[in-house]
Amino acid sequence: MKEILLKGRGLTSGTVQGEAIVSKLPFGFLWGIDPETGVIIDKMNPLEGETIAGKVFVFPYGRGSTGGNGILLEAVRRKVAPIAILNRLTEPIILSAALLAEEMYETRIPIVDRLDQNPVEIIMTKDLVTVDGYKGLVTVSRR
Amino acid sequence: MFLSKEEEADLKGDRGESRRIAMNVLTRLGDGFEADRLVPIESAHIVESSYQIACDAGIEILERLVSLGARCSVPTTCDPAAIDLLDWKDLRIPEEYARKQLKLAELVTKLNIAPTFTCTPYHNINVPKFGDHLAWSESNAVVYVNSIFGARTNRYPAYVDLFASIVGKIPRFGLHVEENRKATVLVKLDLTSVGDVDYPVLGTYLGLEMKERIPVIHNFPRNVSGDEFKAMGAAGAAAGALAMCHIEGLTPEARTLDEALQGDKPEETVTIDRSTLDSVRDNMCTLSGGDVDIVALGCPHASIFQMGRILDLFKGRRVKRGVECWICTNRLTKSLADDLGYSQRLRAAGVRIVCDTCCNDAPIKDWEFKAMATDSGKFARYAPINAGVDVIYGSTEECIESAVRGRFE
Repeated sequence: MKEILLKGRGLTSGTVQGEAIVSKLPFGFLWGIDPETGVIIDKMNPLEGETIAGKVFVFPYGRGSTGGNGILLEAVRRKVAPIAILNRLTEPIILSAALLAEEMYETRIPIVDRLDQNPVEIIMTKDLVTVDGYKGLVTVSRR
Repeated sequence: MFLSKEEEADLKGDRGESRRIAMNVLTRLGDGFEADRLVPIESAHIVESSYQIACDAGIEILERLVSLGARCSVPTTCDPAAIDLLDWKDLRIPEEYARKQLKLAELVTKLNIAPTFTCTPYHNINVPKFGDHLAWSESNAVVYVNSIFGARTNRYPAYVDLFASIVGKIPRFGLHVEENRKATVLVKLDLTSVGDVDYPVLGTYLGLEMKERIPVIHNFPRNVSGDEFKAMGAAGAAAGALAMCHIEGLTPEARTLDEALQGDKPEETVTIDRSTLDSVRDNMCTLSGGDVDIVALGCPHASIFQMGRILDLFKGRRVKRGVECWICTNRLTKSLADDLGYSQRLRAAGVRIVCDTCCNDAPIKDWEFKAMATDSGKFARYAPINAGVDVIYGSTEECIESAVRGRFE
């Protein structure tokens, strides 16, 4: 069991542990996921057909429609959202979704960005990841 | 982030729960983007008026805000809905979907938002001044108001636009800050002429190549129309994340190149010639020509002048049987078109005027269209995903010819 510790900037608090799903491509939620299931539907993304529900979703940064946070919030409402998000750089679409999830659905989605190493290079899909959004700490365990 | 006593009181909930929710999200967003303080805004434009974006969560969120007595405190307009609010049955929208969108539209008006349902509020309803701070979220409108009026807004997400409107303030970061509006890329146009078909191509180029950087464009046609610029900005925002571009001699902050560059040298200089545009245009299409079954115009929403031009281009001919030709627009423009007799003549030519929504927002997969011709860089980008079609990008004139012949030559 190999363990890697990453340190970054915690944008929203909460501590969770779960399996990683890593998109090397920037991600947009409108037309990116089916908000009813959490399954990735973006045909341009190699992860099409995989689910982000209950996982630690790692992608470089958000892209696309400014309404993407609405889709992520619907996934929160249906309990098929990721449990944490790790970005190289988080932008307002992603951060606002997590802030609203707390206010409206009492759901914490810890977000950490600006990690000391590029998360989409270091973390691999299926790694076990612990995220502490308050401290901005990420622990990656690989079997 | 610095907060005044009044803002602190809002954050504690002293002035109501809806202001507390709004202020909590705004200040935490501001902290995340290293804003120094909140600045007053002159207007807002929101996107969660579309059920496609809002979903059931959006209905719940707006219902909660309405029940808490929330109201917009600055002039606020809203983006297209996901259905034609009156003629949704003709658009083959499922009833349950329409019912939810109609509920959302009702909530929008209860929040004191003008029910404009358009992506082009800047043309006639919500018109900013130079230097105004705004909280706008429709991406084509963000490019337009930053670049043409010199107003200041970031590409805001859904709900942040509304919360800013409730509080009347936005965290000062990104394009609200003068230094961040500096152009860092000099784009020189080396073109003998620029036609209407070129603007969305140019926008697509900027969206793909600029990433987060801001360009200043040299040699840009001074006679560009508002409709041409809106088509360019829409394409740029859809292809990448373009939020503003300085046009030398046209953008209020870019009277000269030096002013746009804020006295610095550009980090990069690029030249765009006809061959650049040709290769970008090829990449905007998934087909190079052939039979089409849908011709989609009005993205961003068509102006009354574009409606008149489309009518002229038909020259008394009709849309070929079996082909749909849609012009997407807002209800105010439609009303002008009714008064001018355009609507009746367009309908007689076989054109469908789609109000309040468009091919990107409405669930139109059930039409099972195969090939779309469009004069919009934004439709060209999104329709393959939203409507599951192949797409051919062309000029408005080429699109009308395709509608008449059922074939893009």
